[in-house]
Amino acid sequence: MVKNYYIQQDREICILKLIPKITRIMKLTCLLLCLSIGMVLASQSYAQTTKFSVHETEKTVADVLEEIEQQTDFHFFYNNKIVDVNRKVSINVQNEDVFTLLGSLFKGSNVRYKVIGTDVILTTVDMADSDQIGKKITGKVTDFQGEPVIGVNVVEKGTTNGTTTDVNGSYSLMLLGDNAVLQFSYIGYATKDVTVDGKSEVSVSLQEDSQALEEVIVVGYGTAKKVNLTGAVAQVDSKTMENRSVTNIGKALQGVVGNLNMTVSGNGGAPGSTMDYNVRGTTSLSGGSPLFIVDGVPADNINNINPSDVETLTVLKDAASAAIYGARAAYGVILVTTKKGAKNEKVTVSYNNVVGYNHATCIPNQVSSLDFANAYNIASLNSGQSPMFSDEHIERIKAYMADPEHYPSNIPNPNNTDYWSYATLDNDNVDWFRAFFKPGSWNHKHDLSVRGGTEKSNYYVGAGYYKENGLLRYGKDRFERFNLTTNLHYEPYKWLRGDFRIKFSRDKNNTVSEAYNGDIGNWVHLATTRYPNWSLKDPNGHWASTSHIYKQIDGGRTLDNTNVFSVTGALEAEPIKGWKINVDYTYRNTARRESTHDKAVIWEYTVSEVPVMAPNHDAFSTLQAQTDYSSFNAYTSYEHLFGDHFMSVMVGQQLELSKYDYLTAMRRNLINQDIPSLSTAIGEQTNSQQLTHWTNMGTFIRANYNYKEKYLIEFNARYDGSSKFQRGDRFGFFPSVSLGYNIARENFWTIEHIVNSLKLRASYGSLGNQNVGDYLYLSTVNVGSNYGYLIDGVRPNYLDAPGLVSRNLTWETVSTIDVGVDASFLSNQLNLSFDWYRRTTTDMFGPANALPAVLGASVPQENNADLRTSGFELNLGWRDQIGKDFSYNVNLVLSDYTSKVTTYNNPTRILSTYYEGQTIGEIWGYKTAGIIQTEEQLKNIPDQSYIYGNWTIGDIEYKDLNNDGKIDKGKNTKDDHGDLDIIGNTTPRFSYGISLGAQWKGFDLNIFLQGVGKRDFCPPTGGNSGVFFWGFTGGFGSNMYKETSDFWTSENTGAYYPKPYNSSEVYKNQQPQTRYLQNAAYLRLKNFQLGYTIPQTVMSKIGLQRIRMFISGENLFTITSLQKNFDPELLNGSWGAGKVYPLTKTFSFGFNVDF
Amino acid sequence: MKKYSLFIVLLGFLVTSCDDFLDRDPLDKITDQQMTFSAKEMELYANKYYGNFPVLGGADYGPYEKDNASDNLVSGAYNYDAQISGTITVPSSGGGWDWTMLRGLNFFIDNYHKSQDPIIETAPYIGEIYFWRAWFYYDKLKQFGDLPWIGKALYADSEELFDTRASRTVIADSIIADLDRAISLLPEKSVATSGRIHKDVALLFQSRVALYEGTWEKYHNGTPFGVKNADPDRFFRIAANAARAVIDKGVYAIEPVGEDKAKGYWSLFNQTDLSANKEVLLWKKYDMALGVYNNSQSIWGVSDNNTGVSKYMVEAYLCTDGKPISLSPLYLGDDQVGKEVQNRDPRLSQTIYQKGDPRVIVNGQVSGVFTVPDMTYDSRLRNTTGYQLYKGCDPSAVHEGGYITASIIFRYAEILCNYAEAKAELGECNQEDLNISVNQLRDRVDMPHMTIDVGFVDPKWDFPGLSPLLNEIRRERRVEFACEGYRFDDLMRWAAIHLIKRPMIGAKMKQFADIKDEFKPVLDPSAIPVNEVGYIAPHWNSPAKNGWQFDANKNWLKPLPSNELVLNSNLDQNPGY
Repeated sequence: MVKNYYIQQDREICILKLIPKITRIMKLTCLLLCLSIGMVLASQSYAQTTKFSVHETEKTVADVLEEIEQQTDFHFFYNNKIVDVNRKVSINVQNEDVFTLLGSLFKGSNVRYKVIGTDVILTTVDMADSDQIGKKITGKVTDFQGEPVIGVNVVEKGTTNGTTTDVNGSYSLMLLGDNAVLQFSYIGYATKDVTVDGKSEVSVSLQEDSQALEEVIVVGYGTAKKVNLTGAVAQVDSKTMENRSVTNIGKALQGVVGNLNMTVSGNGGAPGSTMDYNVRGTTSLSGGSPLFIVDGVPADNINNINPSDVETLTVLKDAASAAIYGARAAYGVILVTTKKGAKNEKVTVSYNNVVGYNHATCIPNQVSSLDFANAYNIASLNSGQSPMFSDEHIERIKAYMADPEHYPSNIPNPNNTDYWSYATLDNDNVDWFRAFFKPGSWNHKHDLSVRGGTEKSNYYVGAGYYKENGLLRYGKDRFERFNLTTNLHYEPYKWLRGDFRIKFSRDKNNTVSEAYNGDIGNWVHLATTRYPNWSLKDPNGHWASTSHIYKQIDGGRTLDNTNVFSVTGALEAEPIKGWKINVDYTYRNTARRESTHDKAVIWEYTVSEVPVMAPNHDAFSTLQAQTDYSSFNAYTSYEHLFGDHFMSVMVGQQLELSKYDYLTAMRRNLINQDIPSLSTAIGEQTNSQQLTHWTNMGTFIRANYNYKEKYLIEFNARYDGSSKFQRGDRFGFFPSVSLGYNIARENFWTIEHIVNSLKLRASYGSLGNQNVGDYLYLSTVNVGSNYGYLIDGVRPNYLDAPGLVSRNLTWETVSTIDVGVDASFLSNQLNLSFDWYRRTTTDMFGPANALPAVLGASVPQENNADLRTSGFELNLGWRDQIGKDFSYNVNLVLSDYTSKVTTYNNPTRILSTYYEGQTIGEIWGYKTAGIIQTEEQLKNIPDQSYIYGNWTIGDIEYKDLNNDGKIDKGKNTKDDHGDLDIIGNTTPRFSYGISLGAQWKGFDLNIFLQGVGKRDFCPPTGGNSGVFFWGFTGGFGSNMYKETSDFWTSENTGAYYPKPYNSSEVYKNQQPQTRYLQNAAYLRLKNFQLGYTIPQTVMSKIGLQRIRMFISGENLFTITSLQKNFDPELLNGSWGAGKVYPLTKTFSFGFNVDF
Repeated sequence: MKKYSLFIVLLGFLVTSCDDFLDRDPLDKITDQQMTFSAKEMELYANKYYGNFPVLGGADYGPYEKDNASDNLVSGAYNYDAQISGTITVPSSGGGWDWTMLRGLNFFIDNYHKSQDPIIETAPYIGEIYFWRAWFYYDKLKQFGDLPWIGKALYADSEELFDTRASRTVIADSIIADLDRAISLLPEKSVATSGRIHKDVALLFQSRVALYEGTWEKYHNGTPFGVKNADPDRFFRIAANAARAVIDKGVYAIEPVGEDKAKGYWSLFNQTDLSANKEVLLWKKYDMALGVYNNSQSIWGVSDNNTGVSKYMVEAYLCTDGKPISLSPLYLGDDQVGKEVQNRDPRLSQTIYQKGDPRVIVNGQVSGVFTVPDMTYDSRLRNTTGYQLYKGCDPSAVHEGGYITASIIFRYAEILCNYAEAKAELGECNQEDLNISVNQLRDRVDMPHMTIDVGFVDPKWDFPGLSPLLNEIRRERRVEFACEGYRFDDLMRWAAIHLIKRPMIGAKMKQFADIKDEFKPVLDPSAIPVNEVGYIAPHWNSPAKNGWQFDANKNWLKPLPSNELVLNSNLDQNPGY
């Protein structure tokens, strides 16, 4: 132990230096790094690398062994009845390893040795033959299905003598004692003790650990037994994420955890797209998302984690559970722990792959050119305009449709005959979605991992590769991710443990040059703005300018690479049992590098086939962004059991520092399009930089007490400071308390055979939310460059006008009360968990006091509003086994929430912003009386001139709710809203997930259904946004689809849609109203998986541990009554409702191999 | 025990904290408190307002298109402008009631005194800011009439948020006062930075505002839109004086542009560089290499823009003898294509396309000529009236991804028209006044001079109740500024209800039906709406068949958004809404 003492001295000095100045944290990292690297080397094999010298004469074997124990970490285990340690020996070894030494020590004796980590077990060769002094025992461990279980720990109870089962589930062990009891233990199985009782073979069948309450759950700064949890915590394991053909964890989590609400992000189903996370519904009016913690360290997102590296994912939902993370955890915490090796784990190499084929879930069907032209002419006439398509034009469309092979798709521009007509004289017949998107594309995923462990160290190394191709027909858009995760754990001494983790990920997006986004919007949007008669190709066979296809094919690329590298060193010391001291330090660098080649492409060919270049596209731009993030945690805990009273306390501190540096540069006029770079461009150049930084400092405490695990109480508090607020307003104190009562552990509980466990939980706590932009308390003046107006021949720089700020902005306070129950029934076959909660956000950053517009600025955010969200989560699970081979399980997750604004500074309760008593998501609209069908009816409709001056047959009649003879919004306030009423709500209610699993012999089947029980969608009024629902929206962006074709004409009076118009007059019929309110509830088959594991008997012959093959599918079918142009998960979109890269349904297959 | 000292030290560390670690000031922005109002900062601050000028932009006619909201152009959409077509409804928010720009200006005005730089360096920018405040308020005045006058940057607790509206006269006076400050601070054009606002711009703008307010108060007098104790002459005097101040400088002139005198008026509007032009006070320059360009010519070259010049506009042009078409023997009628423009004020043939006019010129070679109006095109690109706009078109513009046709923002011709009109309104206009003003415009196109007694009685004068001179000065203004975006304001300030309520019409249809095969695609006469006397009537199938539903009891002004009336109970709604 002497040399170790010196190491510790060094560390002390380093940490002492740290104290005066926190920025010296880096030094500690270096130290941790060094220490950790040391551990890695050591863990390779202590026995092989440890050298020592022994020079002894005429000492007993026992003395020599003691000497070795003093010099090293080796411990010797032996039964002095069989091993003669009183034998005198002389020994002389110099700088040799333990094997050499033991070899010479026991040379010529019957003693044999076995080295396991730092443990050395001494036995004798004839021991197995001796009835008196121990014997060899063998056997096989199987699970309840009869399959061998690999890696089961088999230990002679009361000793350290043990082994693990091999690939066949077999083990053999030399027993030391006479009346040995063998203990078989393995994660996920109930530990089993078997008395050997003279037998030479003991085979056991392990039961799965159905006592789920014994499960260990990851919580903030530690773990807890599930039985002792008092907060609302849900955990899912790696199985949820395995073998799914999904880009990231988020997509696999949808519907799995109650009120972990996953929604499709703005990128829709584009390659590499992510999901937005939310815990328990509406957070704050200014937004707010959960905090991500990966292996104990806050992370910006968890999208870059390889799903295959995830061991568990835990959601801390209520304030009491999340309180330990304080300021950033107001809206829940998602804890991810990655896979680790286990003590004495056999080396396992695993390879998994999945190959999938993607299709779009929903592609709108454009009508033919002829149907479009006829519809358009009707709309034009309705609007008092001349028909757009002349008879001559319609004849050409008909002729083309009759013979597209030979009839030209376009005519030259009559005014400029060397060019083809601009768009509208064309007579092609194109379905633009199918022109831009292909039917399907491939993705594939490969994961390789190695894990294992010894007594003192263990490791997990995982590498992953994922590639997803996009659906653009010619654009070759694709996404790739590389992951490397290394988790090393080392325990140099009984009282010290260290972890060293390196994570690296690289996301690569390769897509069509974003320089064209200005022309295109996105490709879905572009498809909606192309009329079916516009040419895809000109009559000479070149792509038409209207198609923009050259941009997909040859418009340059946007390459977006993000590397995330993080390194963590963590030490845990336990100087006396129960007292732990932890420090960890993480440095993470997120480096994003995006480059866009704005390549000049051919825009069109003239009639005489001269190419015309797309104008104004010749530039290269690059963006480089670096985030340097450091987190330092130091905390200490003590726990002790005083008889039946268990107590623990933890106190600690966290510091976070994040710096962001964002540089962009652009230069026009490349001298060579094949070498796009800033250096090879010679034209105008621009550049800009953004620099930001923020820090957080939190001190936290947790105390637990329980009596016989029956009555439980936990207290958490955190005192947090944030750089986002100014001095005086930046610190907040956030306490919480939670209680639990395990009734089933009471003596009076006599129905254990029916209700195995029953726990009641309650918690209350408050948290801070600092989830706001930087410097909101400062009125900043942005320096802009390249103003779009030449002054003195240059594009000048400019200063923006400062906005309004609220200088004493501070925390939002988020309080949650949570009541829950966990129960299991019928030998744990049926499990139930239910939570009801109410989350109150007070001092919320109100987006605005409603103030008159003459203020001339957005009203600054203030701590002036309150919001209340309440809901529940229900989790019901059932599992059963029928006969020997068949087992199945069913799991249902159901959750719901609603939110109400309880305080808001809007005294007039005007409906243009939030008001007191408002239910979030409510839709205000008119009640529809119907479509006006007769002159008689038209005469009797209420005065609708508030909406529009002229009304005719075929238009909508609205209901006069307040019987004042006219349709209007009154004062547009809650108290005087005229004929408006609340007609629906956009909040998704009753989200559910149903998973069904079954196993039969080697087969396994998993089906996962996900959906929303109740939701309304109000189609946007007119404009670019409404096209998917309405077809004609009054101007640019109108189109016509099969779904929108059933509109009113004098021949089709029973139509669903009202009369179409070709001007903004169309808005009068497209007001939010009951007739066109959509039911957006849905049920979706999210995942389907059928696997087959090759029987062990076959496997053992080919020398592999396990092979499983499977087929699976994502989003295979959807049931919804929503209008069919919409995917229920893609109702919004920055270019308009539903105008998002399509989601995909995926068919895939793959296999898992363990070597 | 030594190892325990480590833990004790660590525990001590846990409870340390300090504010310094949490002080993180912005690294790439200054704050409002840090602004020093140096001349450089002032210049940068003023730069961002230049984008408010109406200039050529997207693939449309830009400012020219604004005349769709008047009797000069006829859009295919009868409700192109909600106010003039009477389809405007009370919005709940927005609707032009945006005050963001004003707060930025007031923030500057509240703080520029902090500057340490000499006034000689800062004056131009202070002047610009006052100009822009006038610009802002004039725009609001035209839309809403009475307004709250907000003279300083407001905060959430400012009482002024709940101010009542001040009379439009007070607002107009305040605008004129701001412009007086601007005029005193801004430099002369000769010393101003190229492209920046100078003294004469402010003078021109002052004459515009004063003339607008004077005529508004005069012609809306006695209605809910007028003002009590109106004194329009006061404003006419200001307008005349401001205009005269520029005229007297003698640095501006009306001259034909280019070699071809017959196209000298038309050429003014398709230049790329107007820095040497003696008529233009301020213009916007475009430069492809710098990425500042417009897309205007993409429409002019190959199609029209769902609009067309109205019959009324075409009829306003005099014949070359100086007489109106109702009197002149030179007028050839409108039965045949092309006849109508013959013997007319040359500005007519330089405003609407004639057969043979170049549409596309590539490398000096005419590669496409105008034949017939684009009446058979898709409605977005269609000519609606049979008269297709030519003014503003540059057939030789090179499409390099955009166009660099210069945008004129202020030209001297307006000074001249404002001067003549103000003097005439004052009843002080003499022949000398006409000669230094509108007759300068006539000289450019070789039209006979206007005389004080006019010399004829046009039975079709637009304003039979007004003096012949005012009628002719208004005609001159309409003709000179045809389709430049002035007409809507003129109709409003003149209270020209009878001009607004006329059904909008285009050319006589028969002339095109006779040559329908010349159209590509072929003209289908039944597809073009025609009124009962054979003129193209783009709004024939619409509720505006018999003229816009403009309501003289309310539509002179826009409605205030209803939310604002609730938020500030001291605000009242405009008449009729």
